[in-house]
Amino acid sequence: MGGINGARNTKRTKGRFVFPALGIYAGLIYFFLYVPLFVVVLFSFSATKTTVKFGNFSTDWYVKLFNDPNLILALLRSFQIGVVSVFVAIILGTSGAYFLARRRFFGKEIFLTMAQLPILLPGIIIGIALLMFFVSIKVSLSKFTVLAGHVAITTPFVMFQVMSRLQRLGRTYEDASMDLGAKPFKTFFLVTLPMIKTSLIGGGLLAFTISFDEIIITYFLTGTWMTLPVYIYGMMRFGLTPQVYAISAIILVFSLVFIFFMAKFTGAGSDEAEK
Amino acid sequence: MKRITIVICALFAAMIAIPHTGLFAASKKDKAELSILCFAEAYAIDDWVYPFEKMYNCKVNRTYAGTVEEHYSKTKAAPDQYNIVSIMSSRVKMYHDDGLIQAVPVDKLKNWGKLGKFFREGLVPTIEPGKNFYVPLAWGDQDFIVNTKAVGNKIKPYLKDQGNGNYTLSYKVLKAPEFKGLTALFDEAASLTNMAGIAAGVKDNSNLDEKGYEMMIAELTAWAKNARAFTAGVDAEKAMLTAEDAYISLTGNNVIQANLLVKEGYGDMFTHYLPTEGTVLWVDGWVITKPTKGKAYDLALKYIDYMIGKEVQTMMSTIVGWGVVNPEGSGGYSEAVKKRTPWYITGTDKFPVPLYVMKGEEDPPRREKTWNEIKAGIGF
Amino acid sequence: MAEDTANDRPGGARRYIVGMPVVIWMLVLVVVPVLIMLSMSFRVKLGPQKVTPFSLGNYIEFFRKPIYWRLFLKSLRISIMVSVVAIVTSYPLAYFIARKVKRHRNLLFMLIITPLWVSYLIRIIAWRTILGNMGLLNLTLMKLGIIRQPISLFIYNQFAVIVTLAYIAIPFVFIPLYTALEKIPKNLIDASIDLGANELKTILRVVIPLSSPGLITGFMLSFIIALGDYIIPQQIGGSGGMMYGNIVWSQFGIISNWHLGSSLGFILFAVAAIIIGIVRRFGSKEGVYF
Repeated sequence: MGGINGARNTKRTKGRFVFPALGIYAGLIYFFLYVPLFVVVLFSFSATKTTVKFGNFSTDWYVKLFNDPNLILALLRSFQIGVVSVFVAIILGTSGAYFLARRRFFGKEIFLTMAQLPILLPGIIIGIALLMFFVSIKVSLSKFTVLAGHVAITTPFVMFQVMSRLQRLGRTYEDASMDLGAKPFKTFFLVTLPMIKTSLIGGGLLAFTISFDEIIITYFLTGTWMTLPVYIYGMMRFGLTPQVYAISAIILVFSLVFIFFMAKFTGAGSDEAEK
Repeated sequence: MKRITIVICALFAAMIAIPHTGLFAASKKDKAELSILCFAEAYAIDDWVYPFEKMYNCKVNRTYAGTVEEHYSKTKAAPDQYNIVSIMSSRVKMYHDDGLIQAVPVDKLKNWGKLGKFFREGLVPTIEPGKNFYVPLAWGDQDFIVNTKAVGNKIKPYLKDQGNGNYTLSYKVLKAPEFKGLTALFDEAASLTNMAGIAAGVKDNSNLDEKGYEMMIAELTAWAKNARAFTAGVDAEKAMLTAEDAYISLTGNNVIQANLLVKEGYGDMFTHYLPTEGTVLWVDGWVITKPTKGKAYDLALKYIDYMIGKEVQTMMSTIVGWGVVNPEGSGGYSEAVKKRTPWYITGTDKFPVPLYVMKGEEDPPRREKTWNEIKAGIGF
Repeated sequence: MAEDTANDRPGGARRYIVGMPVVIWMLVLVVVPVLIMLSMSFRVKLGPQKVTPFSLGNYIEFFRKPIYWRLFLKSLRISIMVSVVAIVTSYPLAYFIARKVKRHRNLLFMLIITPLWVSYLIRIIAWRTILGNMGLLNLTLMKLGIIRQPISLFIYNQFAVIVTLAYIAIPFVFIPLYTALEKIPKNLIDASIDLGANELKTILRVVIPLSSPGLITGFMLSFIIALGDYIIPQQIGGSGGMMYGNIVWSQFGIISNWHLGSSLGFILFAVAAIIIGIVRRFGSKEGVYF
């Protein structure tokens, strides 16, 4: 490479030692993040219930897991709630983001602050608040109250992500589209949506992550309909059976397979076009 | 890209749909349902729940709560969600006064008459004349689990020889400077405040007056300041003991630990001791929530009756280890329990140390607050 | 702002329909429940089923009793430490992936998120295994010959709480940091280099200020996670481990004082909002940034 880029390259060689150092650092952090997970996988294959010493190798817990519908059902419920929450959060969040980024109205600052409440308030407060709300309007606890709770806390994440993207994009494309005669609805789906796609996916991912591992709010808003984290939480007193480690190991393996799979098929790197 | 999206969407759709198909619940439509709220691995174990479901062609929904507190807050928040709840005998009045429970017609329980006299009469003071709100199902006490080798002879001054080769351990060991940072306490306000009261020598540990509170608080604070950690579960306690992060544990899970530690090969490392000054006896049992009626009510009565029958009581003492309330079930204790916590076999009548039954405390919230204050005062 | 000319468009009230779903969400799931809790917090519990009319009693109680404010200060200190640790740890990582890595960025990003899908409770138990007397950390140190006896100082104390809380917080801090760092236009960095600054100076003078919305959001998330947590202090915090989250949680158990509990919760929220507001004054005004 010559020309202008050539000149840049020589300047950049000054900072070249930084790259490997940072790389090693990054590797260490990944190691730090995954060591506890490897411990979980390790002990899911330990014959004894203790987590202090590794016992004999055994796949007993996996066998027991598949014979115990309760844990698996709880996992499926977590998925259910996660996917549906994300779906609702995306609809609410995107429409809300559009509203905030593209419309003028009185009290916008207050609205924005209040929209952060579900993030800023401790989970126990949100959980109790919603519980009392449902009790006062005589709605009985079920998966729908759980959904309401999850939607309450996940929507802001989607909304703010999409909103900042919309703000950065500006109205140019939308205006151009509408000047050319497209109705607002069409403009949204054919012009705006593709441009905010990544922030939707990012927001949705974050929303799913939060919903999937959510304990406190779910705990308060459910009776017998238990998601996986709440089920595990209830087991902490008299003994986690290692089936729980087994199911966690399975979740980990599936997740890793899933993201490697997605990475392969959606291509490496980020969207150059977005810049 | 489009194909992958379709595949993923189909996957997610499947995940949402599967729980609604009959795959995991065999024909649940015409089945009556019973909803139980209790501790996990304790009072609604597969071993006797599955036969029950078969016997009465019903479905049992089990919700697990980790602490006594959570049982209460969950029941209070939504009493219509659960039919029967396992609670301590000392809390019956509290649940009753909050309007959460209804009377149990004990004459309809076939096994009621088989309960030990101690459990049938006088355990719960009369709340409404002629009515029974509580059916006991298990009992247990609190004691010490000690890492024999690690403490060595340092523990000798605190042991008392009962005469027949059995030793008991004094509560003083929890305050001992030589064991600083080596003890663990079971994190439950009710048990701890009662035991500290016993150790401090108050008149009635279930009914503390101001002087009693003073003495109890002084004692419990000394214990707390000397402790390494407060354990809130079998797993946490077992981890601490087996990793030797603590040598002495004041435990609420003695029989469970006795069985577990032996099963995992640690049995010989530990000895169980009863507290010399006396210990508390807790009794757990069933209450029926007020909104329960119809088919669920029938099932509730059937399950309660089933659990105090010989068969399940024996199973419970074998699998879990708790003390039985129906003497017919006392044949099931494991070898581990027979050897390490033998007082479960001899029963509540012939207890080797003074036994204080946990009746309702004079002010449960205040006990809770007191324990919170003690914990909060440690360290910054 | 971009939407200023919006109202010139025809359509009138119809244009506001797009905001209806979120406004309904806001009212039903946020405003009303929060108002219920807020009104509860202004009533003092006198006995079962008995409360006073409007009163600041609960809030006064917070300041009167050391158990509340002392515990709060302790948690505040720990939460700030956790957030600082999480940010300092995540920043170089986010910088590396956002600006130095050319390929597989999405994959690397997802690998940081993936641990969040394994239950928080399980990860805490794993840390107990790692930090304990016979845990991985001690075993490794002994194998390497660095120590001869296991060190019991790793667990059942504040060190364990901070490490574990930071561990939980790092992915949540990473996301906004990465997002902010990724958006910095390359030409600004190049300009800085052209003007003679080396990489470190560029990072300090250009990159960090430009990524401040991400720093603020990251700090906010980590701070809230740490401040309200009660499970980690209880499991591995040791005897001196009690934190504010535990006392808030306790109000909803047998103590059954939901009124005091709500007020304690709102105090936590108020302080968090104030701190975040102050921190935001020092950064860019771009707002919440995920």
